[in-house]
Amino acid sequence: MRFEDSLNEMFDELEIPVELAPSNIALMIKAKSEQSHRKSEHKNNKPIPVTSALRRTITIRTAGAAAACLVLAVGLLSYNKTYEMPDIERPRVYDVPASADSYEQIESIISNIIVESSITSGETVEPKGSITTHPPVTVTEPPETAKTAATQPGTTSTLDESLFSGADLVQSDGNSIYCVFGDTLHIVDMDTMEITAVVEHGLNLPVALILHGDTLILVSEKDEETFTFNKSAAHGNVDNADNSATEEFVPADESDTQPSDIIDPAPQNSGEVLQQSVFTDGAAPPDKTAENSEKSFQPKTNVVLEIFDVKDKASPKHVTSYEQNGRYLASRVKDGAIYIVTSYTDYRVSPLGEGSELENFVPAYFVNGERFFVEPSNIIIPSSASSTDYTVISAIQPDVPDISVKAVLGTGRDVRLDEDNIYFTDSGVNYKLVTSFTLDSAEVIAYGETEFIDTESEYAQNQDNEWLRSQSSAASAEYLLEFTETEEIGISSVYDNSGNTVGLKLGMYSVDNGILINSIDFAENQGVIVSKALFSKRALFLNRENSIIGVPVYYNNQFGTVNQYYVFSYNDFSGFELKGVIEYTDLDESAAFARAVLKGEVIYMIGNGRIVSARIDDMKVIHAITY
Amino acid sequence: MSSYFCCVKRSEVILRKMNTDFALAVRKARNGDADAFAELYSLVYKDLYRIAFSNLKNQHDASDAVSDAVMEAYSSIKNLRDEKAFKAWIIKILTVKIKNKQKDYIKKNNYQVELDSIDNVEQGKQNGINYNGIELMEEFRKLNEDERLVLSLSVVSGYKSEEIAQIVGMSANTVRSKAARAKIKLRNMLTEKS
Repeated sequence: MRFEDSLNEMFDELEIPVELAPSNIALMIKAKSEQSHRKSEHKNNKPIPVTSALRRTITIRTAGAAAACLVLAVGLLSYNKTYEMPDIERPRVYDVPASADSYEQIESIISNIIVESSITSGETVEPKGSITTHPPVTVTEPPETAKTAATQPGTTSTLDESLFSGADLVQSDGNSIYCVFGDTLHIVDMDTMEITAVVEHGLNLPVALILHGDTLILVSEKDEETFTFNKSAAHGNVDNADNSATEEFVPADESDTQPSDIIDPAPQNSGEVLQQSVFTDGAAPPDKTAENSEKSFQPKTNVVLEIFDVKDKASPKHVTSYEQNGRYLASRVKDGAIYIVTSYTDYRVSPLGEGSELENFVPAYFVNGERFFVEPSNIIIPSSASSTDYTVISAIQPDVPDISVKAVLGTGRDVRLDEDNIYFTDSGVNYKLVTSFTLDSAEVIAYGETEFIDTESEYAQNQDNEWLRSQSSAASAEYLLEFTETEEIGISSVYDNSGNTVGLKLGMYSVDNGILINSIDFAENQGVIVSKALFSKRALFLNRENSIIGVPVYYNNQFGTVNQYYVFSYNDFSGFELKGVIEYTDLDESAAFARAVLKGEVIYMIGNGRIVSARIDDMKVIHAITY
Repeated sequence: MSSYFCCVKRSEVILRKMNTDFALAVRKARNGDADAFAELYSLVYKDLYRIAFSNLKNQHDASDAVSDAVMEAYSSIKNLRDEKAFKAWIIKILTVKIKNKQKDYIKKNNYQVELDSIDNVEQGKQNGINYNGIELMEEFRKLNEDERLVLSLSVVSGYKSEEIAQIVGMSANTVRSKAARAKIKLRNMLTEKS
C-alpha cells in the first residue's frame, strides 16, 4: 500500500461526531435563520385590524403629523441651507474630490463640519459666526501601516514606511554614513571610519533625514512658543500661588525640546501634559476657566526642513530652509521630487466667524522664513470630508526654487502611503471609503480613485473573487515588513513566566493572509534581553537583494552592555539560517545598536554616538568610533 | 460510546445530483435558503472535520471549529462570488478558525503545542481509528502546524499545491516543499518507531 493511501485510509476512518451530521447542522442553521427572521419581523409594524371610523381618525392624524414634519423640515432647511443630515448607516455620497474656489468656501465648509459633528455628538453649537468652542482634544497617532494592515481587510496600502526612499535619522550613500545625534549631524566616511563633517542644526526635535543624490534634508519638528498646562490646575486662578508649581509658563527658548534619543525620536503627542500655543503678536493667553480647560488650545507644530548640498562631504552647504504646518507623517523621494507629508490638526486658535484670520483655517508654509498660505485651488475637499484636519503634502525638487504644496481637508486621521500613492480612509460601521492620490511632481498629488470596501465580513471576496485578508497568525508579530512580493517578515518576543523577554522569534508570513511560513527562535539562554527591533521597524535590518536580515540585541552584565548583532540569511526552502553573531561590549546602554548599513561584506551597526563596523563572513569587529 | 457518533453515508446519486445543482444551491443559499446551505454542507462536512481534527488537539476542538466555520460561512455566503469555489471558501474559513484555536494554545503555553497523542487503542477507537491508523495518526500529529495543515489539505481534500497555496496563503512552491518535507518526516518517524 502506498504511503499516501495509508494516510487516506487513516483520514477516512475518522468518524464524524453526531453534532456535525448534516441533519443537525441543518437544524442549527434553520434555528439561526428563523431567529434573524423574527428579529427583522419584529422591526416591522404589523397592520392592526381597525374599523372604518378608526381608520379615518388614523388617516387624519397621520396627515396632520406629516404636515407638521414637513413644516419642521422646511424650517430646518431654511435655518441652514448648506447643512444636510449625515447618514450614519451608509457611506456619504462620494464624488471626485474638488479643489476649493475660495477661502470663504473653505471657511464655510469647516464651519459646517463643526456644526455637523456637534449635532452628531449631541452638542449644541451655533453655526458660522458665533462658534466659541474648539474640537475635542484628540491625540493623533501617525498611521500605523504594517501591523494595522495585517489584521484588517482591504486592498489599501499594506506597505511599510521604511521600505522606500523615506526618512530615518541614519542614511548612507554607500560611501558615507549620515547620522543625527543630539543637535548635530555627523558625516562618517565608511572606508576610513573617520568623521568628515559635523553640522549643528539647532534645538528642534529631529524626526527624519532624507538623502537624495547630493541633497541631504534634515527634517525636524518645531513647536510654536508654548507653555505647559496641567489640566487639573486649570480650574484655579493663574495667580494662585498654590498652582504655581503646576501651571508655569515656559518660554520656547527655555522649554525642553532637546531630543533624548536621536535614533528613535521621542513619541509624539504623549497627551499627558498639554502643550498650549501662546498667542503671538502679544495677544493674551486664553482664559483658563474650567470650561476652557476641556476644549482649549493645542500645540501648533511645524515641520522644519533644512536642505544641504553634500557634494563636498567635508563641507556641506546649507541651501535653504522650508517650514510646513503640521506634524511629520512621512516622506518619499520619487522621480527626483521629495514629498513631505504632515498632519495638521487642532490648529484653530480663535473662533471661526466673519473676518477670521487665514491662519485660523488655512495651512501655511514658510520658505526661508516668509509665510505663504496654501492657495484655495490647492486645497482639496473630498465629499466625504468629515473633520477639520488637513493633510499637507509638499513636493520639493532640489533644482527648482518653487515649492508646490497641496492640502487635503478632512483627512488628517487616517492616512497611509505606499511608494507611489497616498490613501485617505473614511471608515464607517460596515465600510471603508479609500480615496487615493498619486504622488506627482507636477501636481504634487493627482486624484486616483475612490474605492468603497465592504468590511461587513472578513470572508468577503473582492471584484476578482480573491479573498480579502482575514484574521492571521501574523498578529503575534510586533509589525510586518515586506520581504518579497509574497512574504512579510515580523519579529516577536519570547517571554518567560514573569513576562520578561528572554528570546526573540523571527517569522516569515504570507502577504495574502498572514499565515506563518517559516520561523526561527534566537537570542535565548542569556537571561533578559532587549532588542530595539521590537520597538522600531527601522532597527530590523533587511537586505532584500541578498536575503540578509540583521537584528540588534543587548543585555547588561557586570562588564557593561553586551551588544549583539544577529545576522541571518533566508530562503523559502530552508527558512532562516543564523550566519553568526557580532558582539561588542559598551559601557553606555543608551548607545545600543538601533540601525545598520551593509556595504559588501562589512556591516556598520549604529547606536547613539556609536558606529561599529564588522565583517559578516567571520563576525569580527573591525572599527568602532564614538562621537 | 459508539452511539455518540454517527457515520452518515450519502448515495452516489445524491452526490451527482448535488454536483449538477451545485451552482443553483449556492445561489439559493446566498438568498438565505437554509436547506440549500445544509445540502452544500453535506457535501463537505467530512472533509471539514478531518482537516480540523488533524490540526487541533482533540475532537471537541475540531467539532467547535467546524461548527464555528459553518455558521460563519452561512452568514457570509452572500459575499461568495464564485459559486464553484464553495468548498475551497469554506475550508479557508475553517483554516482561520483552526489558526485561531492554535493561537489560543500558544497563548496558554507560550510555545508551539503538540496535539494530544493518541497513545492507546481505546483512544484510537474513540476517534474511529483502527490499530494501524493509531500509530500513523500519532506521528502525524507530531508534525508542525504548517506541515499538518498542508498535508491534511492535500490528502483529505485532494487539492493540488496551487489550490492549497490559495487557501493557506503560501506560494505553491512552499506548499510543495512543506508537503514533501512532511511526508519524509512522517516516514522517518514511522521507520524509527518500527
